Amino acid sequence: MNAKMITIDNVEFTYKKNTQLLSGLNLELYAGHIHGLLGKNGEGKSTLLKLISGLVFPNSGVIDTIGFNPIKRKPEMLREIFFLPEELPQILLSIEKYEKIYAPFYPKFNSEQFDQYLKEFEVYSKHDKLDKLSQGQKKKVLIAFGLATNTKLLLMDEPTNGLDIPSKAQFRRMVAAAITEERCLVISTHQVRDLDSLIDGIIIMEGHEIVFNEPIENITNKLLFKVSENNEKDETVIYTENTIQGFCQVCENISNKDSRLDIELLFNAVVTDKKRIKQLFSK
Amino acid sequence: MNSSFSFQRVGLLIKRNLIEDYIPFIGVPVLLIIGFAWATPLNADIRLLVYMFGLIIPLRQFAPLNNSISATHILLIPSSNAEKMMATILLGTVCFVCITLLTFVIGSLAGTYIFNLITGKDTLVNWSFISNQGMLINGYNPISPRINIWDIFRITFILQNLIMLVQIGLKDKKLIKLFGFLTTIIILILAQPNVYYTLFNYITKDSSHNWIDSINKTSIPTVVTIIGYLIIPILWRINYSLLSNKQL
Repeated sequence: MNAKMITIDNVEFTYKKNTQLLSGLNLELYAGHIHGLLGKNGEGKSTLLKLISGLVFPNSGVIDTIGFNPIKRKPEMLREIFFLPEELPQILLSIEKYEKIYAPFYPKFNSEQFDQYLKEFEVYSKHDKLDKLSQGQKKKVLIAFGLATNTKLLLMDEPTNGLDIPSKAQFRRMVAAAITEERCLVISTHQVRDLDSLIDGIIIMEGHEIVFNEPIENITNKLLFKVSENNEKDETVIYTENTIQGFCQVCENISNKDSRLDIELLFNAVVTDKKRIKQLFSK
Repeated sequence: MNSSFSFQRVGLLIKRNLIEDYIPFIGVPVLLIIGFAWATPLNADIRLLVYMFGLIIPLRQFAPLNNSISATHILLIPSSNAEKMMATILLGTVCFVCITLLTFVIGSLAGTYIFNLITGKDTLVNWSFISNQGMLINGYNPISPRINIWDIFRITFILQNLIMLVQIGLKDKKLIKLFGFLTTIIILILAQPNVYYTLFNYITKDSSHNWIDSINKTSIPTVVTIIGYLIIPILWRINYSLLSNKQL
C-alpha cells in the first residue's frame, strides 16, 4: 500500500458560532492517487482543502497532512504542498520572475518541467506579467508551476474554472502524466465532466460530512451505470434520470457487469439516497 | 534547509519582498531624501517624516493578510511563521535604519547646498540629528529636550509593531483598525520624552506640587526610554503569536 498522505479524524469545524460547517469528518488519502472532491455549493469542499493545508484550524479532531500537524504551517510541510485556490491572488510579476522568486522555496522544483507544461498550455512568453494575463491564462501558469514543484501533495480548488475546452483536455493529460506513486492529488470541482477519466477516487460531501469515499474500481464493481429506453423500476435501481438519450440509471451491480462510470449520475445517486449507497459499499 | 528556521529562507523572503513589492523600497528613499533636503537646512521637526515613512514598509508586508485570497498566497509560502516575521522585522528595522541614515546624509547635503545657493548664505550641514548629542526639536522652545535619532527610531519601531498587530490581529474590521491606529499614534506621540518634560516643567511651576521636586527630573524620560526599548521585542513576540494563529 502507498504512503498515507492525509488523515482526518473526527474533525469539527465552524466559521461562526452555532453554524457547524463540518462535523465528524473522517478521511484517509494515500499517495499515488488523484481524488475528486465533489459536493454542492457551501458543503465545505474548499474549507476541507484549507483545513488540510493549515489555512484554517479545526475546532476539534486531528488532521495529519504528510506527517505534520497542518496548523503549525512548518516549512517542511509547506514545501511538500501546493495549493491552487479557486480565486487567484494578484501577482505583479512576470512568469519568469515568479519562477525565480518562488521556485527556490520548493526543493524539488523542476524548471524544465515548468517550461514544458507552459508550452503544452500554449503559454509561450515567460516575460508576460501575471496580472496582465486573463484568469484562464494565469490559472494555466499556476497549474504548470504547481505540477513542476513536484510536491507530495497537490490541492486544487476548481482548477478547470476559466480554462477553455482544449486547455481542459490538456490539463487532464498533464495531471495524469504528473501523478507518481509518491504524489497525491485532490481536485475539488463542480464541473464533474472535467474529471472524467482522470480521477481514480471519488469523495462526496453532503450535509457537511463526507458521505462517500471510494476508488473508481470499487464503484464500478458495486454499481452499474446504464441507459435504458424504459424506466425499469426493479429493486436494483438506486437512481434514475430522464435524459434525451433515455433513462440513465444507477443500479446495484448484482451481475458483475462492466460499465462506464458517470460521475454526475453517481453524485446525484449518492445525494439522493446516501443511506442505500452507504449500505451497499459497507458490505 | 531542513530545520524549522533557516536564514536562507529568510533571505529568500526578503528577496521576494524587495522584488514583488519594490515600490516602497524605491518610493520611501526618494521621498525621504526630498523631506530631509527640505527639513535639515530649516532645522524643522523631522520626526513625523521618519514615523510616516517608517510605517510604509511594514504596512505593505502584512496588508495582504486582510484579504483571504492574498492571505492564502502569503501563509502558504514554504517558510515558517518565525521566518516570515523575521524577514518583516529585518526590512522594517535594519533596512529602514540604513535607508534613513543614507537618505539623511544625501538629503541634508543636497538640501543645505540648495539652501545656500538660494539664500547666498554659508550655512553648514546640521548633522545634530545623527550625532550623539541629538537635535533640539522646535529649537526655539527652551524646555524641549534633545532628540536623538535612536529616540525617533524607537518610536518608529513601536509604531511599526502596532500597525502589524492591527493588520494581523483583526479581521475585516477596517474602521476599528483605523481608529485603533490613530489612537495609538496620538498616545505614543503624547508619551514622548519632550512632552513629559513640558508637562513636568508646567507642573513644577505650581508651588502646590512641591512633592514632585523629590523626583529626579531626568528619571522620567529615562524610564520611558527603557520601557520603549523593552516594548519592541515584546510586540515582536505578540505579532509572531498572532501570525502563527492566523486563519483565513
